[in-house]
Amino acid sequence: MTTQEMIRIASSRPTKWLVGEALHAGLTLILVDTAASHLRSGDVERATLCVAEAEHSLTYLRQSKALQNLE
Amino acid sequence: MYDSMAELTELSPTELSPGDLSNGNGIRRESSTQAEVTAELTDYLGSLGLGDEHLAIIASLIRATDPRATDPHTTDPHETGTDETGDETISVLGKENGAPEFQSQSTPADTPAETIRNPIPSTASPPSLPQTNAVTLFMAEEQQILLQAFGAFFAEQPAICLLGSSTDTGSQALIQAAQQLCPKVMLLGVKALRPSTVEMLESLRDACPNLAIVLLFAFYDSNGIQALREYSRDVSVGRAYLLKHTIDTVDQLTHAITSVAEGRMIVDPTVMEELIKNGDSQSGMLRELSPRALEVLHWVSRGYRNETIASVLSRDVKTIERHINNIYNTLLGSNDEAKHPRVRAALMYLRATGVLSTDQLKED
Repeated sequence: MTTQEMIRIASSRPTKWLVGEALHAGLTLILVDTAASHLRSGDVERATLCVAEAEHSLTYLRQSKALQNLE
Repeated sequence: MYDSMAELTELSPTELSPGDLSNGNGIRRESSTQAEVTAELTDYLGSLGLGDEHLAIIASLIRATDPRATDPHTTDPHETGTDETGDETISVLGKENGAPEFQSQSTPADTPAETIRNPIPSTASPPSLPQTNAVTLFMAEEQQILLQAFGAFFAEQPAICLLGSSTDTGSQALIQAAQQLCPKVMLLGVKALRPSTVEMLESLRDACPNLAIVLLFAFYDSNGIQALREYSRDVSVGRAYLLKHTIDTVDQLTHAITSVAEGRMIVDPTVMEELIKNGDSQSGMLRELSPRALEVLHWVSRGYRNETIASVLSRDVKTIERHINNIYNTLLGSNDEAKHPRVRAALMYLRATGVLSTDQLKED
């Protein structure tokens, strides 16, 4: 994967995201799984993007859980 | 992989391609239907290498979490994360090339809504709608655990509209946050108050002179207090200097935020004592006053009448009058003929807290 390709993918990141715990839990698992596949095939850049995106979903879940614990 | 919340979007487009982005400063203005958002999301995930099987799972999850089907709280289009089409979405903040990054959170419709990253899930009870006069707030707190706690607390406070947060308390990051999000108040939490902290406040004041500040700190040194005293002389907007361990309830912090938004100055009694120690001998007389008397004097210095102070402090008017007489006796002695004791006591307080300089008093 070239740097330009990485830039193109990162630039296409949506500015709006759907919310929902199930969606983000699923996204986290799938993205981590996909990142592992990329790593096995040697595509570190794409794996990095997947892990970063998984982190975003995980953050969402953490914040969601924090709010629920307050209730 | 990441050390702080502020770094979670480290791999944003601008980070990866400085100077080579189609979206300029990274902020996009657009309104999408849920179908468009879903399509955009699917395309993006496809480009990350997710297979058809995974994309099908995501599609089914999106259908299963349709906010209108699962959460009656999201029917109001102004509810958290709900765009004007009625679809519930999260927008993500881009960032300028090489600039520090912060997360922005819930916001009313009339704020820079294109910069929202909303943590509120559709399955959780949404926070109350921001009041039209809700105080817009940006939080910068060095300690991530406190940042997250404050964020969760303020999500439930209708008087506060949290625009964003960051663990980066550097001048550059704070100025950029203030200029992009235009909050009324910035909550700044640091571990220790040092001269460098005050220098950062000065930079912030120079860049955003109308921004009210709530400064929280756990420790301080004498140089930091001295610098804070000097800094306070040149500030005309609301300020609060509070020790973290003295804040017991969310309401106390909310009150401090709304007060500074109205231009008030709030000083923790302990900090006040330190400020006085750094003052001159006359101001040192304030040390003789009890914390409650100091609190009363604070409101006196703001021009409040006894009845109003009694209401604010939930005390009887006669109690307030007793405190004020005690203040006069302590500060002005037994000279019953002293002119304008209320004004003189207030001036002593303002000078002690650094709001008025000695030179200004002499001129007056």
